[in-house]
Amino acid sequence: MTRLALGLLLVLLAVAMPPAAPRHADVTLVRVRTAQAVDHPASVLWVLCLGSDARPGERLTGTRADAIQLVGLNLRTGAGTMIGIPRDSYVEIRGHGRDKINASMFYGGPQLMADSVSRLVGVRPDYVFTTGFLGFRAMVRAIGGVTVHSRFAFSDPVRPQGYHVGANRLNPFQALIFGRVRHPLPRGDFDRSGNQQELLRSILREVRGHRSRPGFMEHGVLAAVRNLDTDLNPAQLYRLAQAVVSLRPERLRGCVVTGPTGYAGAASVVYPDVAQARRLGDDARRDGTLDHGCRQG
Amino acid sequence: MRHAAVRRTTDPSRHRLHGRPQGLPRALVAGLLVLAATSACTSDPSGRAAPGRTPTTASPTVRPRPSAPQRTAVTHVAGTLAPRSRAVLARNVGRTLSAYADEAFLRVPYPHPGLAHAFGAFTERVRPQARRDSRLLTNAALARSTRAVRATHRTAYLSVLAPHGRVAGVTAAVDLVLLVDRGRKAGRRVHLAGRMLLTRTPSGRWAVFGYDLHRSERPVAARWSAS
Repeated sequence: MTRLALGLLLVLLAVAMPPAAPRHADVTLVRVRTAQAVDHPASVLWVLCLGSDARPGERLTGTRADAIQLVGLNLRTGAGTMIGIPRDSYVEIRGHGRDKINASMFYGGPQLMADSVSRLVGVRPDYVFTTGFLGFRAMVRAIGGVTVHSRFAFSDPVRPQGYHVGANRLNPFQALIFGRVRHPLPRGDFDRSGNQQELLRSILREVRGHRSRPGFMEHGVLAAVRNLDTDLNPAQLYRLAQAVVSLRPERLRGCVVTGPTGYAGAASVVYPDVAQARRLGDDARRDGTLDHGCRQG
Repeated sequence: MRHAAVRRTTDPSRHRLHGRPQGLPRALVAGLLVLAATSACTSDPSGRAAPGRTPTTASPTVRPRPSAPQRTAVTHVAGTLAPRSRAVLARNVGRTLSAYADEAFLRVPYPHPGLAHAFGAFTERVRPQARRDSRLLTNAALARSTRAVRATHRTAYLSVLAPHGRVAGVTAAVDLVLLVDRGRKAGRRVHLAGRMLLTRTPSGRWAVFGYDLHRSERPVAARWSAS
């Protein structure tokens, strides 16, 4: 039966289609080739992304930073590195002695925060972006939510079904909580920093997935203009955003600076492994890419 | 990155191109052919012959038509932009995109050895990469066998970032359909579509600082060039 049908089809084709006649089908299978490039002044960028814990009415850059991620981006290769720094890292802050690294923001705003991070990791960021709770939620809302791949299952009142291991579609508030909780996570602050990196990756995935939708990038950048504290003008921010979107999320690798925990007076702190932080910085400084593992020896 | 895609043919001019005009008296057709054989052909809507273009062997063709004009419109604004400013922006960005299509495909003396000026509408830093992508972004791959190129469809819909009423950046969703006449060889229908990212240069003109484009080609049977 199949052979008969196939034979009939071939006969029909032979009769219906003159061998040398040009034919124009309504549906065609074509090979599509693509090309893409974005011009940005630097091929490797380092961006310090800060999540401020400012409450409504407080100045964004005058409080402590809850989330600290130093992100290296190689715009030529599409690869990148995220170096997470626990907010309780006990370090030397220029002009203020030893304190938790997130106090740098309170003492001297984004500039001093960048200074403390660069002293720890050995890489000076080109840009510092700071956002708060409301700003972060507004930006996630602008892109329609995110899908994170969680390594841990945990519960929180903002998400009645809980956070599962694997893919979780999150609304803006749930995304904020995913990047903030630490008590249910096995390694507390270190795993929270890992979750923040997954959030950054998920935002990039989401934006890349929709970047061709008319107006999507423009509305996203407008949300960033309104909710980020940055000294870049909107045109520079637009070009930076278009360049960052050319990165591939699967090539965005994350490491967290680790170290033993303890107390400095009454405060619970992390004594960061400075040697590890420096090795990560040395590895990724020039090309924004980690060639070795997170522990690096 | 390469894709194979099923694409529905949407070119409305396709049916007009194929075969000889129906219903025309033979004498008129013959007259057109004589005209076609003796006049220089250009894809330039102004009718100006491109410099260096030389007539080649005459052959039966249909009457050439001018390229479709560039149509540009602002469709999305993030922020605020007055209607009058939208019109001005569409005109200025349209000029930049037109300049690119002209230099990369249309107003080029064919056949020619290169497309050195194809990326004058691009920022300096993106030009080297664009040159590396010139087989996709220009008619370089077909240039040696090309006699003329005509655009049948040229649109750009603009998404604009305009915080505080001032334009900070533009994404143009471009769609360009070209017919390439290659003399005795089968002609090509080239479809170039995707996004072009534009920024304002210090001199005030709009320039392409990034692109994300895909190109497909398929053969077409008829010749339309009269040169």
